[in-house]
Amino acid sequence: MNKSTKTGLALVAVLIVLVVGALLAYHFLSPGTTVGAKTITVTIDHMVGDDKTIEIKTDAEFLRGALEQEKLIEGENSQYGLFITLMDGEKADESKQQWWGFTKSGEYVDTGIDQTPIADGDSFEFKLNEGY
Amino acid sequence: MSLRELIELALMGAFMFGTQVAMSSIPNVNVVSVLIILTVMIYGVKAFYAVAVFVLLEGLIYGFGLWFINYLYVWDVLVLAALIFRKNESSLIWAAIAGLFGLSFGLLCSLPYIFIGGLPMALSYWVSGIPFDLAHCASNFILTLLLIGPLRKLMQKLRPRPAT
Repeated sequence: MNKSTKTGLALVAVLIVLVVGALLAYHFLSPGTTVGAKTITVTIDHMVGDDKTIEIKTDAEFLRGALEQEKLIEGENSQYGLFITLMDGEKADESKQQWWGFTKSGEYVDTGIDQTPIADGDSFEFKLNEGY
Repeated sequence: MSLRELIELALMGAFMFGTQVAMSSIPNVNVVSVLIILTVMIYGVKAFYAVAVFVLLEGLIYGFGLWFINYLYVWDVLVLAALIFRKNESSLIWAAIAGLFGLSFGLLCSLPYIFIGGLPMALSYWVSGIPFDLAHCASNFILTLLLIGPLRKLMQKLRPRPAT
């Protein structure tokens, strides 16, 4: 076995150790989900049309499941999960740099809808923003 | 730097951007890391110019959001790592480097959040992105293992003169 093969295998071994470490970090540090029935409130701030507040009863563990259950969203899969392009019938116009964003009880959320866990009584506010 | 090199590096940056857009329908799978490593192998430290073109194109097309701060340094980390191993010819070593870079991508991108919302926000950002980092790691490893050897041979054939 030559030196570069040994170095390569050593680096692969380091990579495997780090992958296991990342999996453990994700398992122990990511927020937990709630199983079972729950009710959440979703407020939608439209750019065109009336704003809306919807109460959703769901068994979904993540926000995306609850929104899809109500057929509220359409989007494109991206590296960060689903990127919402349409919500409650209003499409984000990419040429105007429009995008749908959301907060949880008015607070910034650093996860997408695929990874945001929901619990009974949670409230989420969606807004169509303009400008990146 | 010669005019020819200037054009070649600009084209490499444009190629990085083009392939990323072309493969954007497959989340976390792209050949940008392979192309950056290839650029370092052929052009050495001048690869920073190609990365600058790539990052600028990303900003012009997708807008200069907070993520752009990450892009200003995150790809340069790969260039620096590749420069250290520049003489290496083993595809396995390059694949491991690309895999390590993919795995650490979220961690590197979380750094600005330390200054915005403190360590808890940065940690939360990193942890929520771990599944994406794992996918990035796996795709980088496989694509680099398969492509870096043939691409290097192709570049040397197309560009027989060594960079000066």
